[in-house]
Amino acid sequence: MAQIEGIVHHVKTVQAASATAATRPVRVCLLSLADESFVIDLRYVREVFEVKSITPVPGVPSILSGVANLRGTVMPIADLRSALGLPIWGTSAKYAVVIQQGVQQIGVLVDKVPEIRDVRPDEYVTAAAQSPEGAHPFVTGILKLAGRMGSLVEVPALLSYVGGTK
Amino acid sequence: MMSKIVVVDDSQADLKLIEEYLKSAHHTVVSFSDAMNLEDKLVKEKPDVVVMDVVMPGRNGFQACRDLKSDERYKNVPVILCTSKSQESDKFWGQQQGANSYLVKPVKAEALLDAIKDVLRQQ
Repeated sequence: MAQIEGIVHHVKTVQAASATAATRPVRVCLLSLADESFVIDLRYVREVFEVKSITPVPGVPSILSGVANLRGTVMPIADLRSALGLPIWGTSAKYAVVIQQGVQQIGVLVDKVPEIRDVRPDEYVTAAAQSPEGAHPFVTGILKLAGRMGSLVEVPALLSYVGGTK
Repeated sequence: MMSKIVVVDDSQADLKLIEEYLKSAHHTVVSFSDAMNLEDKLVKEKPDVVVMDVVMPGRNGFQACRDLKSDERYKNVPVILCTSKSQESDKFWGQQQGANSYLVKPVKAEALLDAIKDVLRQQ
């Protein structure tokens, strides 16, 4: 009997822990690009810097605008506008957010210095309902923001996309 | 008031200079040359304030500050970012990470000591 009670207690503890994890807020970085909002997991964000100039590099994937010099480090710079179906005219982005996974890092062009927010997992809507043709390969969800929507950009998928596109 | 200050900076020259400033004001100083596993180190040190560089190899000061402020154990420990990153956008980003104060190098002793007084007063 005591053993059964122990198992029940364990199951309840696990259920409570998983419920807490499911509702625990996640810290995200809110990016602004071409008047649209995008969200990435803050854990992948290393820093933000002002882009003074971008040097084009022949033969790199089309999503990359070129490279920038960040304190002596050559930083690949990605412009997500065309990949996300956004207009590519207008004012060029002034800042880059450095995102990193392992040793791979790129700067993603943004219009302004991002904000940081806490969001709950239930504030996301999955992007799985998108048609394969219309789906952006690294957008995995939609976040309901105050009065607007923001696309959730999955950093590992984005880095894979950058590495695999031409 | 004497306080215990943890200083994190990968530049030995800057580390020494900041240590001198703080010791001249009779603070107790513990220094680290990077922010890796900083939370583990702080368990032992229990600082009143953390003074931290931003541009460091591995985990940078922005990331470490953000993580400290998300950690129940350290979220109330004031963090002063002390960095050569001088753009307004850098300061804004530093605030976004939860930094209590942001100083641009080269920092003068008076500015650093005033910042420490300010962040402790706000506690």
